[in-house]
Amino acid sequence: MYTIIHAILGYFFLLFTVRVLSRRPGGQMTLFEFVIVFLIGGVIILSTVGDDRSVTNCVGAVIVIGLMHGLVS
Amino acid sequence: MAQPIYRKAVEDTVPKVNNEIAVGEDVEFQRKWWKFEKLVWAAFICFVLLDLAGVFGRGPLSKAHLATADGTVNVSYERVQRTGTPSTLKVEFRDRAIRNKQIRLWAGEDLVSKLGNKQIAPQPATSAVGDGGLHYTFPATTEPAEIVFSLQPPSPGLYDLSLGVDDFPAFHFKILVMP
Repeated sequence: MYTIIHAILGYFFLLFTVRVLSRRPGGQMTLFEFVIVFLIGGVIILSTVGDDRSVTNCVGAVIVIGLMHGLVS
Repeated sequence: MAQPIYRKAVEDTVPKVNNEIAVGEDVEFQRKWWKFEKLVWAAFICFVLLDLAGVFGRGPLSKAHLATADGTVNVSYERVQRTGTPSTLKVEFRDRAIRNKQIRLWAGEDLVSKLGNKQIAPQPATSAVGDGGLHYTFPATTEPAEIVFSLQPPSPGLYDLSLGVDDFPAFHFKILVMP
């Protein structure tokens, strides 16, 4: 049950964050680039959240990455 | 090559407002969105700063410390914890708490049921259930003696926890578990 609720909330939170970022990520990517991006993201998230898999921590990580993107890009 | 003849003028579906250019989008809505974006970014920055401070757990503000008046029993814990995330609750004793080479400690049942106590180091010599809590006996020789409870709360909520050592006033405190 919690997995489904977390997935729904996570989807809307990510949708909201990407919309606020005012970018269109993935619009010009090929399928191979798409795979690489997700693979790299999947690896880096392990060290980013560490042993803290809570919603609070993941939301914080997404916000910080969004802010970094806003600052750097 | 003949130029194509445009018979119909290109018009925008959005009417001009205050004689400003309309380029196929709702400018008023866009302005509101930009304002909304700024508010969200401000909220995000506040969230990150509060998170760094430990308001949502795992930071300086989340750490708490309790002690008896004479400093014989000291308790260190995190007042804000996170669901499924390991944390520790440490109880440190001085000589007066050690009786007959052992320490008798009791804790409220929320320690196991709500805060998910996974492990106690060192292992208690005896443990018993009763009076709405758990009673432990630890072998001890000299000070300082330290007992560490490894916690991993299974679900979010605000939980009351009581902890005490025989012949000393008990500690009553709350722990907030974030989702």
